[in-house]
Amino acid sequence: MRMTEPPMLETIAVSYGFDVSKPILQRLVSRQRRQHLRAVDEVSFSIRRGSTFALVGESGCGKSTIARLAVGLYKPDGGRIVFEGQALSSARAQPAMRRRMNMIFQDPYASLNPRWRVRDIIAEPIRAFRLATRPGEVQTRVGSLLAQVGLTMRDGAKFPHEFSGGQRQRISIARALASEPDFLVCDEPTSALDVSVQAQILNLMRDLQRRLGLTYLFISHNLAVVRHMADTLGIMYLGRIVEQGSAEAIFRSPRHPYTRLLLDAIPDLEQIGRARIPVGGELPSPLFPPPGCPFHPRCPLANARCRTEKPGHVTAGGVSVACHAVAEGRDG
Amino acid sequence: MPLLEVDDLTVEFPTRRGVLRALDRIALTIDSGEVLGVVGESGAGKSLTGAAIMGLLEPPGRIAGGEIRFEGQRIDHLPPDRMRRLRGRRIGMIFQDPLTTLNPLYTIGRQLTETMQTHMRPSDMRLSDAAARRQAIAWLDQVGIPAAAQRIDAYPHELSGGQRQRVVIALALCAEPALLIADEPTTALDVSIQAHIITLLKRMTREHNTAVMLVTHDMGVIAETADRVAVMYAGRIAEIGPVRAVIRAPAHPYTAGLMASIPSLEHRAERLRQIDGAMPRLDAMPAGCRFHPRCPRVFDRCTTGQPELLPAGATQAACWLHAHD
Repeated sequence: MRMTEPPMLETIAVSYGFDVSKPILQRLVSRQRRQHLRAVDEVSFSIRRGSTFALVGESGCGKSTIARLAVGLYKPDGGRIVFEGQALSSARAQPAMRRRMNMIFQDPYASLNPRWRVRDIIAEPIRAFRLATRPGEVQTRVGSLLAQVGLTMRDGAKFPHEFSGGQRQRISIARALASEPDFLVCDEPTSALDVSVQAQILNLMRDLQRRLGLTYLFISHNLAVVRHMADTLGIMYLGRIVEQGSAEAIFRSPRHPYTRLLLDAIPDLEQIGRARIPVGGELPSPLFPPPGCPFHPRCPLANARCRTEKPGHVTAGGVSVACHAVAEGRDG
Repeated sequence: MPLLEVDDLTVEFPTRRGVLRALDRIALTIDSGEVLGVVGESGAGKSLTGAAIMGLLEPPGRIAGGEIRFEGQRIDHLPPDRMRRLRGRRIGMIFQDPLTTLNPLYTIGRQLTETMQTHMRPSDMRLSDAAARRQAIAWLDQVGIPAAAQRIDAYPHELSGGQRQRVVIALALCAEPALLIADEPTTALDVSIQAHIITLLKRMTREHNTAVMLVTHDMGVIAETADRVAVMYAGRIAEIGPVRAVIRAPAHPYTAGLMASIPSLEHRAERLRQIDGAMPRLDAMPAGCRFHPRCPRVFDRCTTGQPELLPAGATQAACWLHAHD
């Protein structure tokens, strides 16, 4: 690996908020102020070319918002996103750059147009980016894309409803690959699938990555899936990355109390009939995040500093952790 | 005598293009205080098994054969009003989505007291409103709703997803049923909340000696919660036995494939083992063993005869590999 090579994607202190205010009349009547939800709060990470960076977290932590920011569907309120050394907004402005990023969604039932034949769904990006113009050429490309994801040209003549969930996700992947991208954002690509089908799709995604040199931003709530896919990862809590670094290091010795909680909470095949020590508390509302460290109300290591001061990232054993307890060596 | 016995349960759906057999001769038992996990992938028939036991099959689905006995009595063809009395009082239910179970127009307290007052046994005295409210608060407290005495007047929308599922558990258990059928009770929840709910279910059912049929697609949840597990495939039980044996030493090639396809938290594999293909559709069931087109260990016999459950080590598996005749 050359050290000079710029990362595929880099986010630098990116923030994004939603305006969730009530309608103006209602606000005037009940004398409420505008309400702002900070979904992503100063998130920084970078993804090396050809690798997989995963974002993990529970619902409402902001991981899907980052997915949309990363392909330019939202514009950040603060911070910068750099795609291959260029600001994302200017990269999006050029079709040549735009075709190099694509997205795979969670629900293969909602993300395919039910009225289109599969071959037209896959041909659309090819035509849109003028990667091929003659009909015969387009069909050849569609055929090879279908073959890449384990389908046949005969499947191309069918409609999405004729396929199972796993096959539909293969179609979504073929469509995502049609514009010959280098960078794919995968938002919970296997969450709607059964485990045996999930294994097929994850294997396919790894094969394609190796063969085509793809870079993945992989979003999931399933830590076991992330363990299988990620080279590096970030754990998110209430819009912030609380721990990030090499996946191997984080799974081997998680440092942040939230990462530990998550890893501990997963029911595991290795632990038949185990008795749990339940962890306290629930996810606070992202509308009213707690002051200081957002995790402090549930944290067993919280002290006065955690309740008032937002922790910055410190590097501990090659992993970056946002936790006062880790920084002060109180985490045992 | 087991609390629940299901013998050769067959469920069919008549359609214009012929009768579809969705469950084919399912046999299982559950003892008091025991947790039986039922796992399988979408369409395997696990939820349908639960619905058939509760008498909640959606028409035109119907029980076409077999028997369901609860506390020694047949319940598969009870008249609807008697079945309704049994449900709720003796058989409790928990579904995946707490929002569809709770009535959005009533406070959770009202739903709890109403359930308790409706399902009191005739021998008991009618529960007064004040006593019912006290008991409802006690139940909310038991399932871990903070400040239960205040929260009792909350509406379902004022609670978080995890709290709603706790209320649903309280609702299912407050009539002290002998059997609880829980269909994907934690699937809609985040992992940290899921952990709470599993712990709660285990504790509550142990304290009340409730039998539980836990339907889920999540093998991890089964591993932690169940005593025994039934693995379903294409409307049949592929394997049934003690949870440890089924996970550590599966006897059916489908169970083995299913276990191997789950990514591990312990180490990163180069590739996951995958079962190629997909579960057959009801109208295109293969002859012989329903798993044989996907089975890595298929041989002649599998393509012609359908195997019944056979003893296989510590479990029973419906697989010709275990036939010694």
